[in-house]
Amino acid sequence: MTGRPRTRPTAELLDRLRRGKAELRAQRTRMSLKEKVAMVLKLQRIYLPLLKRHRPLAPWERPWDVEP
Amino acid sequence: VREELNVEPVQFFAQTLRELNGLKLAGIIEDYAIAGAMALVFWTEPVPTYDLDVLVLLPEQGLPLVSLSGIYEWAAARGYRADAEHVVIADVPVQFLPAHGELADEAIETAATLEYEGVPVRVVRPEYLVALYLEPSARTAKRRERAAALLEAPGTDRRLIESLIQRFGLLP
Repeated sequence: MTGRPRTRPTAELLDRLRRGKAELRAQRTRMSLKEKVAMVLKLQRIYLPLLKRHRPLAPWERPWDVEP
Repeated sequence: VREELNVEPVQFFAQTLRELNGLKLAGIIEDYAIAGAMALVFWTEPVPTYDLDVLVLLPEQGLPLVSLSGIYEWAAARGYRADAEHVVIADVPVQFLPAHGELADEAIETAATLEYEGVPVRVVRPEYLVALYLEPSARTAKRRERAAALLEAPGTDRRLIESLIQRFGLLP
């Protein structure tokens, strides 16, 4: 909180970033079910260490050892 | 080769779904529908989750309290272990949730039959998922966020959601 004037992103840039994120979500929604399950399996591995830092894990909270 | 190397055989997610259908065929449950985060995955983008929530309609048991013992006995007979209120089917922890009211009954009865790798699978429709997330006992920040994602999903019928909200008194 320095109060120093900073250059801010333009409304156009922010809009473009938001649209990019929306498009990414739409692309993921359009993926095949098999691709989505593969991504869930990847996300499980990515999120587990983060989750572990916040709270103790339940015994069932672990990546599934399955193929999509 | 995996056996020779003493490595567990590869399991496939479709096997878990196949077993859910087997439970219904065996008459242990009347019907089922996938709910929770995995249902969201079927309708929107993938989200991290560590279990599979399955809403179930149980056959009339003539008991004052609902019992999941039939499911647990079936699981044990098939070599699936129970783990903290979950049954681990093909390495996927599955939580069976008996339908807790008319909204859940309807969510199961109106579930969509989709296909995953050739296996038919019943999935709660997005409109009913939103309604379930809006139940007072289920309202959390995470579920509100999921309801919002479902509202944005292509094909979600907002009029049906409004009618469910009215019919089941889900207004805030």
